[in-house]
Amino acid sequence: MTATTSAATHLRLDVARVAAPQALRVALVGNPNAGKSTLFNALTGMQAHVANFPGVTVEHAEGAYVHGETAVTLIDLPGTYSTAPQSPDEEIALDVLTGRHRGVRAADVIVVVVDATNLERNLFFATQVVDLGRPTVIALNRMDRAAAEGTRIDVPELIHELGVVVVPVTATKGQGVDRLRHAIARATALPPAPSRIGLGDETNVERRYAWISGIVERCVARQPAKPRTASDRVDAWLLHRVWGLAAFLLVLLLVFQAMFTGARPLTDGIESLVGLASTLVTTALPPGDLRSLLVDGVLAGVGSVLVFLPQIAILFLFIGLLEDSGYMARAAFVMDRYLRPLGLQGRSFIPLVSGYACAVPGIMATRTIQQREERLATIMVVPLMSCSARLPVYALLIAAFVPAVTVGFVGLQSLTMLGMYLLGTGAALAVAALFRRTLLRSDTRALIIELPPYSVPSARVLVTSASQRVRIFLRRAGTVIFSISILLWALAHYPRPRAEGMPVTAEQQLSQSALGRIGHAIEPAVRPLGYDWKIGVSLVASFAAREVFVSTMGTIYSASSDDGTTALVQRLRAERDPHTNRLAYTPLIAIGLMVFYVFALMCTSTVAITVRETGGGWRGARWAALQFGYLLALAYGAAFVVYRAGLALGFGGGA
Amino acid sequence: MGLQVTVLCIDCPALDAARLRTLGVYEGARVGIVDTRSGMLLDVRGARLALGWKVVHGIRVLPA
Repeated sequence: MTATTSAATHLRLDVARVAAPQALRVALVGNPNAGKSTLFNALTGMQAHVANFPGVTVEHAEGAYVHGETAVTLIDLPGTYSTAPQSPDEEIALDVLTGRHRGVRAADVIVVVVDATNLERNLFFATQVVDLGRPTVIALNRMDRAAAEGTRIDVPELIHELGVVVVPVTATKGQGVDRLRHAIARATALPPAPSRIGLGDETNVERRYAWISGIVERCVARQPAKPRTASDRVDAWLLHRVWGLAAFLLVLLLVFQAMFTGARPLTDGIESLVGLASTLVTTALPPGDLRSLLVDGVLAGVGSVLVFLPQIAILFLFIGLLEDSGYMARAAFVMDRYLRPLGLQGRSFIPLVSGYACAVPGIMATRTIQQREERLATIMVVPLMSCSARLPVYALLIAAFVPAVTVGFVGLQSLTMLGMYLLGTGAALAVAALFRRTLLRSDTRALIIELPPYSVPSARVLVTSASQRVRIFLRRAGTVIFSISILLWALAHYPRPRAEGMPVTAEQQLSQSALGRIGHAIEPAVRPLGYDWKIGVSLVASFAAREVFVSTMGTIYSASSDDGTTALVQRLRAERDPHTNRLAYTPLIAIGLMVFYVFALMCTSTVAITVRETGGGWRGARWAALQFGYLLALAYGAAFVVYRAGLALGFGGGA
Repeated sequence: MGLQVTVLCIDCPALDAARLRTLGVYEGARVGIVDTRSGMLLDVRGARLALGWKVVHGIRVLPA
C-alpha cells in the first residue's frame, strides 16, 4: 500500500468526525478536463467519477477530510471556462463559488485546478477567479506530463506574478497533495491578491491574454511544440467524416459483443450461486410460506435481475473508457455533422450516449447545452436511448428466443441487441427533429468544443467508477426490486384457491391469486400486442423500474412452477397457451416486447429528473407528462405494428 | 496543415463569439490550423479546439 492510499484510508475514517457547519468550505474549480475530479479524489480519498469530456461533472460532488486541526468540506464543481457562464452547469459552478446558489454558503477558499500542460489557456479562468478577491489557491496539476513534454515551470515566479499560492501537484500519483492540503488550511490567513484586469467586460479578454502571455514567457521554459502530435495523427482518422463514423459504429459493435461474450462466465456463475442459495434454503426450511417466500419470491425475483450484473458492469466500464480516453469528445464532433440537420448539435451527443447507461445522468448532462430549445429537445429524447435497466429485459428475451448462431463473425444475439440500441437511437434522433421543427423551434448553436489529448485511462479509476454505478444498481436490486418481489410473491400466493378435495396445481393457484386476477383484468389491453396476462402484470409492475419486468416474470414463473427450479429462460420457451396449447411466447412476441421497452418510459427516477430539469413545479410536470405520454403511445403503437405486421408476414411461429 | 494565422475579426452570434474569445480565439490572436476536413481543428495555445463549419464561416484570418 502506498503512502497515498494509507492517507486516503485515514481520511475516509476521519470523514465521520468532520462537522460540516464549522468546516472550512473549499470549492474546487477549473477548466473542463483539468483533472479536478482526480484531485478531488486524491484530496478526500473519496472516489468521484472522472471523465475527460468537458462539462461531464454536471452535479457537484461533496467530500470531506481533516488536515491537522482543520476540518474541510470540499466541493467539486462543474468545469467552466470563464466567469461569464454560458450553460446551466457553468452557472451552477459560478453561483456556488460566489454564494449565489440558493441554500449554499459561499466557499471560504477557492482551489483553481490548472492543467500545467495547457497553462496559458487555463490561466485565463484562474486569473479571473483570483480577481474575485477571495482566498484562492492554484493547484498546478499534471506536472509529470508537463515535465515529460520538456516544460519547466518556475513556480516561485508564478506565485510572484499571480499574487496567490501556487502548489504543483500530480493528482493521479498523489504527489503534492499534502502540500496542497496545507496551503488550503492556511489560505484564509493570507491577504487577497490585487485585481489586475477586472471582470465583466469582454474587451478585457485581449488584455488578460496579453498579461497571461507575459507571465508564461517569464515563468515557463519549454521545448518547441511539435506541429503535429500523436493525438493529431489519430484524429486524422477518427474525425474523418466517413472513417470517423465507421470507427464509432465499430466501437459500439465491440461493446455489445463484449457484453455477451465477456459476461457469460460471470453470468453463469451468478446463476449457479442463486441456484445454490435456493437449494440451501429448500433443504434447510420445511415446506411452507416462509420457504416459498424466500425461494419463489426473494431469490427468484432479485436473482433473476442479479444475473445481468456482469453485462451492466461491462457497459459501464466501456462508457468510462470512452470518456476517460478522450474519445467521447471526438465522437461528439463527428456526430455534430449528422445531428445538425435534425436541429441538434454535437454537444447533445454526450447526454444521448450517457443515456445508454442511465437516463438520469443523461438528462443532467444536458446542462452543458447552452440553448434552451436544444436542451429541452435533448431531454425529451434521452429516455429513448436504451439504458442499463433495459438490458436485463433484452438479455432475457434474446437468450430465450434468439438462436445463438453467428452471422459472419458476429453473433445473432449481439446483432439483435445492437438492433434494439440502434432502434432507440434512431427514434431519439427522429423525435428530436420533430420537436425542433414544431414545439421547440430555434436556430441551432454552432459547435465549439475542446478535444483533450488522448490518454490511457487509469484502470483503477475505471473499475472504481464502474463499481460505483454497479453499487447503485445493486442498491435498487436490494430495495425496489426486493420489495416488489415480496409484494408480487404475496399477490401471487393469496388468496388461496379453495381445494375442495382436489389437489391444486401451481398454475391454478397463480391464476386464481390476486396477481392472476389483476393480470386477467389487464389482458384485454395487451392482447392486441400478442401478450398474455403474465406479461401484462409484469409490464404494469415495471412502470416503477424497467428491470422489475424480469424479476416479476421470475416470481410468476417460480410461483407457477411445481418443481420451482426450472430456469426462467426454459420456462418461457416451454410456456403454452392453456386455451390453444400452442407456444405462448414466440420470437415475434419477444421482438415486439423488446420494441415496447425500447420506447416506453418506465422509470420513476427519469420522470422526477425531467420535472426538475425542465423548470420544476407545474412547468416541469407538463414536460414530464408530455414525455411520458408520447413515449407510451409510441411504445404501444410500435409493438402493435411489429406484432401485426409479423403475423401478416407469417412470422407467428407458435407450434 | 499546421498553417499559422492571425484572427482578424469574429462575426458570429454574440454568445459564440464570447466563448471563442474565452478559449483564446480573439481578434489579434495567433492560432494554428491543424485540420480542415471535418469542420475546423485549431491549435490554440497548445490546446485542440474543434469548430463546426457554422462558426468557422464567421471567423476571418490572415496568414501569420
